[in-house]
Amino acid sequence: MSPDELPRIGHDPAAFAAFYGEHVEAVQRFVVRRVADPHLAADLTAEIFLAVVDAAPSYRPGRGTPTAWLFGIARHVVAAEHRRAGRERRAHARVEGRRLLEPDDVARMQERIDAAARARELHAALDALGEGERAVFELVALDDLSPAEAAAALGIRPVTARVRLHRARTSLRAHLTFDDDSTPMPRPMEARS
Amino acid sequence: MTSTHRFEERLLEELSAVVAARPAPGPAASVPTARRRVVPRGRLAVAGGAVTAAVAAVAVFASSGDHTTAAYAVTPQPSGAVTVTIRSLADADGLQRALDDAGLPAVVDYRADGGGGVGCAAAPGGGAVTGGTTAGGPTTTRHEESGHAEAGPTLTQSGPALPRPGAGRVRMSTSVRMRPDGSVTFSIDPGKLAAGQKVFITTSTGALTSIAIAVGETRPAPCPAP
Repeated sequence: MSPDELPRIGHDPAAFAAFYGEHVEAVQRFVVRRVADPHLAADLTAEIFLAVVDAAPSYRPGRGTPTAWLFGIARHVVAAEHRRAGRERRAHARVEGRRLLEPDDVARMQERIDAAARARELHAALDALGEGERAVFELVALDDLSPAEAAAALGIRPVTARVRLHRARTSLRAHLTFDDDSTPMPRPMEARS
Repeated sequence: MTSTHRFEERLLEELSAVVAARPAPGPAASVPTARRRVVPRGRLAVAGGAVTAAVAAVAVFASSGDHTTAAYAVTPQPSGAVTVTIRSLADADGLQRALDDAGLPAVVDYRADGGGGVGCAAAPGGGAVTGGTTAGGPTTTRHEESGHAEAGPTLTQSGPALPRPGAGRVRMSTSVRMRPDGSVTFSIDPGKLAAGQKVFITTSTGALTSIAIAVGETRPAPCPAP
């Protein structure tokens, strides 16, 4: 989907379906790098796309790629989850993702969750970082965004993102796995299918 | 309707229904046009700290995630009034811009004791009416979390219109209602505001339950300590 078409996904079901098809897997993987429960993961996936629909009319291409924009929203939704009780969140949900899970779906979500175990470990280790550093580092190291995309997702300047990324890596040196000395950053911590 | 076998397909069906129910953007779409940013210098007295967003630089929109959970909604009504619904205290800047764009000059400051706590209609700040939600902490908190279907309390406060030399005098009642989902809603008619008057949206405790609305030229002072 081109950036120019993106605002339409808020009201055009065909456009939304195209965007959803492109990104639903990536959104689920984003979620399971942070939460380990398949039902919660389903809820958050639904919430993220609802937030996307709400935010689509105000998307401007100059503010980042659709992926960067999407991950900025996803991050906000998942962060908000930690600040609210589960019962309260579900009481207000327009679409409860967990209601749509059949046993096969739970199994597939659990596979994603298992594949992301290392990512969740790393995510937990990031508590040691300052908030700004953590935000950038997560998007680059866990979600495989480029530093420029991460900057756009967070609404900060690219140079700011690079500085924070460097600080984060320095702080976390003991926790990271580098594949060789020449690679300046760790691989994303999950299996790809 | 045949059942679909995968979570992703069922979720798409439900989300598509949400999207289909949304209106296509019309002339009142969210693209802001020329913004009226009037700061009446010398007439805007600030209590206890700067007015944060009156002359703020352009803020980043959805890419920073601030608008994503619909912290607020500003809806023009056929009557000319503007209905404002606030669900969370995120993005004061965005709400202020949205109100300005809707013809309702506003100052939104959610910080604790930004001014305008309940019962402070008598504070100096121009002839104004303050509508505040009940600052009954435990009761209101339980109300938010339990999600009861009952209608929220409706509180209408008409403060005194304070005569002040040179100041506009407005007598207006504004009911601030808290809904079962915990959001706060009120309506104001921009046409009833005198020139130079703004709507001040503040909290006294930094929580949504203490939100207060005041109309005047100058910002209401925080409540004096009891």
